[in-house]
Amino acid sequence: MSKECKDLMNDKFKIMAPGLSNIGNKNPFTTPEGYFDSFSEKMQKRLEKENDNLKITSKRGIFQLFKPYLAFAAIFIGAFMLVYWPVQNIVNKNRTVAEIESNEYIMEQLEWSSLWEFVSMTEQNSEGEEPDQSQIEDYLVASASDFDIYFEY
Amino acid sequence: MQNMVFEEKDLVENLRQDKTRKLAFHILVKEYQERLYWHIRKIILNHDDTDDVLQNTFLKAWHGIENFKGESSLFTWLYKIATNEAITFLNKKKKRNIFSPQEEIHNYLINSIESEEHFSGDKIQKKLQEAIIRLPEKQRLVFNMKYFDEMKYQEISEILETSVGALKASYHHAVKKIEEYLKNSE
Repeated sequence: MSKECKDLMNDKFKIMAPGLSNIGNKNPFTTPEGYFDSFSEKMQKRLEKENDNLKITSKRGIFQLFKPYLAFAAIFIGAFMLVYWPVQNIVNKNRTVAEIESNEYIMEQLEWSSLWEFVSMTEQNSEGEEPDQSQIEDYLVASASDFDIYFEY
Repeated sequence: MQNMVFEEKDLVENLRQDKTRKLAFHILVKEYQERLYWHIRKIILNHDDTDDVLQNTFLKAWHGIENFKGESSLFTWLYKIATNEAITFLNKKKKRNIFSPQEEIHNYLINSIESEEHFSGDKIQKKLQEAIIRLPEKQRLVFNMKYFDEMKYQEISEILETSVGALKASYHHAVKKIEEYLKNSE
């Protein structure tokens, strides 16, 4: 751009922006003494530090790679131990209790006076046959009252 | 080293090779540190923060030299990185105030001017900086690059990836707003 052109533009600018023209475009900021002289050295040190950090990171590489998956697996196992296992134990316990109570109930219902009948029944079947489940159940039903039967169920 | 002829193409080549990388990087820093520093400083205003951003800029250049395709000059590429780093730095200030993020940046910049020990300007130059702070981000960048750095519109266009026409309009609006602010604060 020629000098005349520049002068013309400056004159136009003075008319458009008198305030700015008076202030000028001098840089009002400064730097600490020797800043630029030592900046390159500062950068080299920063790069060396970064390289050292990268070496440490790469040694942990495999562990870091699998860390998220290990964490996920640990959470899953923990949740399993805390929730599923105790719940299963409670459910099983209830079943066992139910079975015990059932056997105890059967024993309670088995009246000694009727025992002979039961034994007779088994003797009748003593030619190699034991009373089957349905025969035992029939006996119990016969000796239990309607109330007992329906109350249980 | 003083006798070395500085050719941009050779510098880039040396930056890409392990043997010559360190020395080439030293030359790169020496060559561009001042221009980049002042560009960042006009955006951020504070010296210490500018120092951090300048270091980040050169670090990005170190790690990203493989991505430099040579479509623009090395200086334009570095200038772009510096601009993005400075804006990213300011945007981090925005997040502290979700209700008025722009105000947060203005407050930070005005405080920087008030408390900055490395500022040798007089009262009127401080007023000018306050006026510039109040400009929208893009206008601030354009104004600083045109008014203080006296860059050509074509150069600014490559750095900011904005058309020359839009830049001229942006600069014109910025000048008007600053003039208005200076007039009203007399």
